[in-house]
Amino acid sequence: MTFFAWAFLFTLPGLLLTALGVTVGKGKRPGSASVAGPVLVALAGLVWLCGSQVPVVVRIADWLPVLSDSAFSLRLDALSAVMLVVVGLVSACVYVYSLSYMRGDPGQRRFFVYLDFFVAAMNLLVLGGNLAVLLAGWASVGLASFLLIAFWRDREHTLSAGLQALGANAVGDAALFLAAAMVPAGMGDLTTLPSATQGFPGGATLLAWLLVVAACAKSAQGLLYFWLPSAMAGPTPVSALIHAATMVAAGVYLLVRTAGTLALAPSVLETTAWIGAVTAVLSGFASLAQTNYKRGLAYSTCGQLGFMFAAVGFGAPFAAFFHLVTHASFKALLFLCAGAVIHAAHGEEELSKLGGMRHKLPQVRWLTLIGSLALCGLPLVTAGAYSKDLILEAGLHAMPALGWLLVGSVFLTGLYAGRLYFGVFGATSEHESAGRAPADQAHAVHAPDRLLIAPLLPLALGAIVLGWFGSSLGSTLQPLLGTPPEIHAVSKLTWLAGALGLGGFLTARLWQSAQRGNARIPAFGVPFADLLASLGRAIAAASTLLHSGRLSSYVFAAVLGIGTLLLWTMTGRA
Amino acid sequence: MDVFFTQHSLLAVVILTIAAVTLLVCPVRLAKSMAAGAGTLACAVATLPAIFAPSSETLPVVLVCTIAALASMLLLPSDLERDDDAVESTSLILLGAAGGIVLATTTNLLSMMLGLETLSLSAAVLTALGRGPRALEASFKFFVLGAVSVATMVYGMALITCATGSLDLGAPLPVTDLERHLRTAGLVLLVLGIAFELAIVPMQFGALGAYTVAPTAVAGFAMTTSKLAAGLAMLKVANVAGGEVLHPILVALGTLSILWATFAALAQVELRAMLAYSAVAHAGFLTFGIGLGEVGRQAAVFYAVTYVAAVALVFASLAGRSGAPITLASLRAQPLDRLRSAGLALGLLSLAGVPPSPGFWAKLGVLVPGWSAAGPWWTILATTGGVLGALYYLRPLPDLLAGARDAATTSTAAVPGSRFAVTVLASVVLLLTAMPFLATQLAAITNR
Repeated sequence: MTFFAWAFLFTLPGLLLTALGVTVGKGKRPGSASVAGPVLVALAGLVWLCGSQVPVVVRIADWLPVLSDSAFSLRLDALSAVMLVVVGLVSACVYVYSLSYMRGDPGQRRFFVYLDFFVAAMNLLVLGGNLAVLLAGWASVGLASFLLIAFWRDREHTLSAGLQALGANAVGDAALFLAAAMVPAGMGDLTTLPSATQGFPGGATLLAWLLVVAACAKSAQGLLYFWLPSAMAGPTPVSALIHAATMVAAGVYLLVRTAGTLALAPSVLETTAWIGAVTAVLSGFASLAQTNYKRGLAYSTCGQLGFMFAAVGFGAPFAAFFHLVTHASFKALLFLCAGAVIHAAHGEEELSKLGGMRHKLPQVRWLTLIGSLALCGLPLVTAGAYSKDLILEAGLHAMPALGWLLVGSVFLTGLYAGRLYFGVFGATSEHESAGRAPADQAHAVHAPDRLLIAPLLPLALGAIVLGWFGSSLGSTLQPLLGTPPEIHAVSKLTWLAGALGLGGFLTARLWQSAQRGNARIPAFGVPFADLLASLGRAIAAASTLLHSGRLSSYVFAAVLGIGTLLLWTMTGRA
Repeated sequence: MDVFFTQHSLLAVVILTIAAVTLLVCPVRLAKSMAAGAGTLACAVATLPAIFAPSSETLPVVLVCTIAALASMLLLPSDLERDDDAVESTSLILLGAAGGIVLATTTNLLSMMLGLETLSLSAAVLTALGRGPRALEASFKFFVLGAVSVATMVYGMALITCATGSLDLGAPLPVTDLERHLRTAGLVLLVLGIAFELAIVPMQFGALGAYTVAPTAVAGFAMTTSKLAAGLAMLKVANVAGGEVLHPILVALGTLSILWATFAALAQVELRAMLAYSAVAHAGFLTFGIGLGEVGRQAAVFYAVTYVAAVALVFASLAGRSGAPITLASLRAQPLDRLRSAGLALGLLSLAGVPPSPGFWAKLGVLVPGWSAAGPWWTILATTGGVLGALYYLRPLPDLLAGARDAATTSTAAVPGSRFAVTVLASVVLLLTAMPFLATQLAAITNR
C-alpha cells in the first residue's frame, strides 16, 4: 500500500511520453499517452478504499534540513484516498474528452503536458502529510492553472485572466506560507496542528484565520471570488477539471483536513459560515447577470463552493466534503456539456447566440438536464440533493438565520441553472416558436463525436447515484471527521429544498420564454479586480520613481540610509 | 602576520590574478577563442588547490566563482561592442572572480575591502564594454556609488580598528562602552559597504543600472559571484561576537528590499530590467535570512546557492540577446530554441519560488524561521513580497513554453557554449528540485 502514497507521480510518465511526442492507439492523437495516468490515480484510491484502510505514512527524513521539520511527508488515508478517486476519475473523463475537443489545436501536446502537471500537483496537495508538502502542491496547482488559463496566447485577455488567477492564488499561498511559518513544529503532521499552535502568539485562532484566507483564495470565496469567472478564458476542459471539480475544491479540502484546528476557533468558524453563505447568494445573483455561458457556470461554482464553506463554518466538515464529491461530478458534467455546445457552435459562448440547441445536440441536452437537476437538488434521483440537504440541516441546527438564507438560495440555484439550460436548449421565440430551427445554425453545428460524448456518461451516472453512497462515505471518513450525520432520502427539508430548486428551474423556463431566450438581470457590483489592478499599478509606478536615473539622488539616498541606520543603532532602537 | 584567509584560497586568488595580468600584458594579440581558452585554463588550475583545502568553505566558494567566471567568458564575446575587448574582458572576469573569493573567504577587514573593490571595479569596467551609450553611463554611476560604498566600509574599518586595535573581524570584544559603541557603528558601516555589492536598499541603485544594461554575461556574472561573495561576507559580519545588534537592521533592510524591488519589478516590461529589480528582491531574502541569526544561517546559504544556480541558468539562456530590449513581444517574434526556452522557464520558475523548484524550498527555509526569530510583521511583509514576485516572473512563461514548440525554424542563433551552459545549469536546478538537501549539505558545510 505504501506504493499508492506515491500516486502523485503516476501522471509523470504520461507527461514525459506526451512531451516527447509519443502517442498510443489508432488515431495517433497527441496526448493519448497521458490518459492512463489519471486512471491509475483513481485505481490507487479505489484499491486503498477496498482494502484494509490502514493509513499509509511515508516520511523521508532530512529532505529539507533548513526547516525544523525537515521530512518529505506523504499521507494516504480515507480523505486523501477519496480525493484521489475523485481527481482521478474526473481527470480521466476530461482527458478523453480533450482528445476530441482539442483535436487540430497546434498546442494539443503542450495542453496534455500541462494537464499531467496539474494532476500531479493536485495529487501532491491531496497526499501532503505536512504543511511543506501540502504547500508545494498548493502553489503548483496555481501555476498549472495559470498556464492552462493563458493556454491560447493568440486570444485576447487570456494572459491577464491567468495573472488574475495567479494574483488571487498568491494571497492564498502567502497565507499558507505564514501558517507554515507560524507553526514550524506542527509541520510534521497535519493531524497534530492543533497541539502545535499552543504557545504561539495568536494561537489556534490566528492559524485558523490563515487557513481560511488560503482556502478563500483557492476556492474563490468572499472578496477573492473575482479570478474564477475570468479563468473561463481557458479551454473548457480546463474549466471543468480545474475550475469546477478539483483545484477550486482544494480550499474546501484544506478546511476539512484541518477541521480539528478550526474547531478550536469558533469565531473563525462563524465567519467562515457567513463568507460561504453570502458568497452563495451573491454568486447566484451574479450568475443571473451573465451573458456568457461559461461565466454563468463559473458563478454557479462560486455559489456551490459557498455552500461547502458554510458547511465547514456550521461545524459539519463531512457535509462539506460530501458536497465536494457530488459537486465534482455534476459540475464537471455541466462544463463538459457546455464545451460540447461551444464546440458545436464554433467557439461561440454568448448565451444570446446559443439558443435552440436541443434539436442539434439531443444527447448533450439530456446530459445537461441531469447535471442541472443535480445542481438544483432534485430529491431522490440526484446526488446534489443528498449532499445539499446535509448542509442545510447543519445550517438550520447551528446558525438558523444563515441556514434559512441558504434554503432560500436554493431557489436562486434553480433559477440560474434553469436560465442557462433553457437559454441554450429551450426554444427561442425567433426560431422555434415559428416552428423552424435557426437556419444559420442548422448546417453549421458540429455534431459531437464519440469521444466527446462518452466521458459525459460516467459523470452523469455519478450525478445521479453518488448521493446513495453517502452513508458508506460517512463511515469511511468516520475516523477522521467523526460520526457522520444520518442521511435521509426523504424528509421535510428534502421536499422543501427540492421544491424550491425545481420551482426556480421551472420559473426560469417561463422567464426565458418571456424574454425570448435572453433573460438576465442587470449586472451589478464593483469592478473589484480592476480596482486592485489599478492600485497595484500605482504602487509599482511609485516604486520606480525612486530609480530616476539621477546620480545625485542615488548618492543622497545612500547617505540618508547610512545616516538613518547609524542613528537607529546608536540610539539603541535596533 | 595573520593568515587572513586559507593558503588554498590565497593560491587560487594568486593563480587567477597572475593569469589576468599575463593576459593584459601579453604582447601578442590573442584571438577571442584563445583568450577564452586561457581563461578557462586559469579557472581550472585555480580550482585545484581548493580541492585540498582543509577549510570546508573554500572549495564551494572557489568553485562557484570560477564556474561563474568560466560561463561568463564563454558567453561574453557575442555581447561586446568590439571584438578587441575580448582579452580585456577575460582578464577583468578573472580579476572579479579573484575578488569574489577574497571577499567571501577572509575575516580580515583590509582583505575584505580589497576583495570588494576588485570585484566592483572589474564589474564597472565590464559594464562599460557593453553596447551603446547607456552602458557607459551605467558604468560611471556604478563606479561612483561603488566609491561611496568603499568609503563607508573604510570608515567602518577605521572605527572597528579604533575600538579593538585589530583589523581582524573576530578580534575580542572591547571593554569600555565607548569602544563597544564605536565597534557597533563600525559594523553597521561595514554591512552597508557590503550592501552595495549585494544590491540591497539603500545601496541598490548603482547595481540596478549595471544589471540592466551590462552585457548579458557580465550581468549574470555580477548577479552570481557578487551576490554569493557579498552574502557570505555579510554572514561573517553578522555572526561575529556582538553582531546580534545588526540582526534587526538586516531584517528591516531585507524586507524593504523585497517590497520595493517586487513592486518596482511589477512595472517593468523588459525582461532584463525585471531581472535587475528581482536581483534586489532576492538579495533582500538573503539579507532577511542572515538577519535571523543562527536559525537563519543555514537557510541563507541555501538561498544563495539556489539563487545563483537559477540566475546563472536564466542568463545562460539569454546569452547573445544583449542590445535590443527583451520583451514579451520580442520573445514572441524571435523565440528562443527549445533548450534555451526550457532553461529560461525553469530558471524563472525557481526565481519566482514556485514549487517544486529549489527557489520555493529556499524561500520556505528563510521565511519559516522568520516568524519566531524576526517577528510576525516582518515575516508577513517579506512573504507578501515573495508571493507577489510570481506575478512578474511568470508573465513570460506561456510565451516561452508555447514559442519553444516551433522555435527550431525561427530562433535567434545560439551563442556557442550557451547550450552547454544551459544544459549543465538546468541539470543542477533539476537536481536541487528533487534533492534540495544537496544544497543544504553545502550550507551545512559553511555552517561549521
